[in-house]
Amino acid sequence: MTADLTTALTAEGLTRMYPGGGGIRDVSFTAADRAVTAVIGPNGAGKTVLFSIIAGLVHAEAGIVAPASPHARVAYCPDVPQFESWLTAREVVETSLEVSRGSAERGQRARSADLARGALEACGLGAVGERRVADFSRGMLQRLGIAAAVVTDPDVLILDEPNSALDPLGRADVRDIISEQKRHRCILLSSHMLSEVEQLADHIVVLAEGEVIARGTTASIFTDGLAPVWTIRLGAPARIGTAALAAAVPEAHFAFEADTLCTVRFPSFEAAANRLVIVLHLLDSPLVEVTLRERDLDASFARIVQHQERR
Amino acid sequence: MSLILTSARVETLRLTRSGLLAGLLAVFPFFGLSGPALALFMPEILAAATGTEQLTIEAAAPRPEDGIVLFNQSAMQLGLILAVAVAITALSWDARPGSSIFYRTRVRCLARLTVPRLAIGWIAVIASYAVGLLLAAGLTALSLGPAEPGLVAAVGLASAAYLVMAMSIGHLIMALTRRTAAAIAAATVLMLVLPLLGGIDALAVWAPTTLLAAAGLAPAELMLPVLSAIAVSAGCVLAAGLATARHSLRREA
Repeated sequence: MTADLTTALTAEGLTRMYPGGGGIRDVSFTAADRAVTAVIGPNGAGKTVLFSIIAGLVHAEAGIVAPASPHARVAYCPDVPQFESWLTAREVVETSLEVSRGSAERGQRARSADLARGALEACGLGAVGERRVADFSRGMLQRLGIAAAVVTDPDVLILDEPNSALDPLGRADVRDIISEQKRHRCILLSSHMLSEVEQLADHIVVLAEGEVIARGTTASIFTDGLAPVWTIRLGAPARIGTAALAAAVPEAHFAFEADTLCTVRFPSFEAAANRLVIVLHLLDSPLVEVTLRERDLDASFARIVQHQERR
Repeated sequence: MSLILTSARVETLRLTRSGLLAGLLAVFPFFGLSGPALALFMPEILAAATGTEQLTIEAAAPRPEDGIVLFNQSAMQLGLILAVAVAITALSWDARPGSSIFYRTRVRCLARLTVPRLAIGWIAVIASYAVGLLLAAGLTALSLGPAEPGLVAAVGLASAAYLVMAMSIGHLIMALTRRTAAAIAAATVLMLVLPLLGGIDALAVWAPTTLLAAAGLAPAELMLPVLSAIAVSAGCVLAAGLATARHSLRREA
């Protein structure tokens, strides 16, 4: 793979296997700059191992990680951020910045304080900067982990399960932070919450048993192979039954939940593109509502993994 | 330099906010007061302890050096264990995956993170010990008469060297194991067993454990043990740095 101007990171042939099981094998993908690339997969698929290699915490047995720039900074926020409990939030973020810098700069302390304050504000922790970490909730720790990573102004920000164990308000806060941060840097994240992934990710890499089994845009990953279902609410009972509908549009499956409520399932969006209009015409009844039912993301994901397992 | 100063500052905050510094300043000065008191009242204590007609124990009249010796005996047992715990817990960030990730993803040369923290521990422990020794010398002077300044200085320097060595050993054990409880247990056992080396004549000349009996030795007899202690300390710090650098991420707490 060759790096282009919008690629922030290229991983090629990464392999790291553990004696007790687990690890990754020949994982390759690219992550774009100013975009979110989500890595999803079942438990034990190798997501954390992959992130650990990219962050430099673990050495790969084979393969390379090539950031766009040789001096690119990579910051890693783990799924369970932990800090020395006697430090305040501000001190954690300042320490993060100062140990990352390494070399002395005149006036650095004053600038560290300003940057720390900004990072805490960006992550909604400005009001609790002087509170000790020991008093932080799970959600606050997660946001502090992101603040400690963001303050170093990384080129690549890795977020491992950033929304795990958060309540809906916490998840919304983290979602907003990620949406803001993706404007400035490449973000790699993993999550078991596919609805969150669908909202945040521009590209998805699917891992299973340590290997990449699918990669693509979010839309293609979640709609590939999906059988969409529409709900059609009529103003009056339909003048045609399911048998006649099935004969006219054999590729679709029809069911009437009530006289005025019909569901139709097509094998794909492509099949529905032309035929749905024909169905609406055949129903020959005033239309009140035509809605696409919520896509079952978990089922889509399971379909991808099971398709891989059957091969 | 920024990393070194930051690391030192974080360790200073840890010692002050976690109560470890308060503990050190309580333990060593306590022994500084109790040592001379014990020396002063030792004859009465022994007389009260032996109340039979068959057995009579008479203690010699306490001398000023007894106040210093008894202080040092206590300080180099319980105080030593506390000092080693300070050194071990300075590396507890590497025992938990989350905090290990925090530092390992930000610092290339981990020795610049770990050695300053150990050094701050050395300073805190030696300062606390010095406070205890000065208290012991002062109370001894008031109750038993002034101890020889040379004796106080020799005991102080010898014990400081031994404390630094013990803390370095604890630092190495923690760097190897990355498990706080196990490291404290192993280091405690080692500190209790090591003084046995002083009983082997062939080793006593240069063994660092000879420093524990500094009060009874001439300054010239302390030179080799001090040098040995310094060498052991340096070796432990170097080995710990290599071990820490070689470790990869802990996968479990």
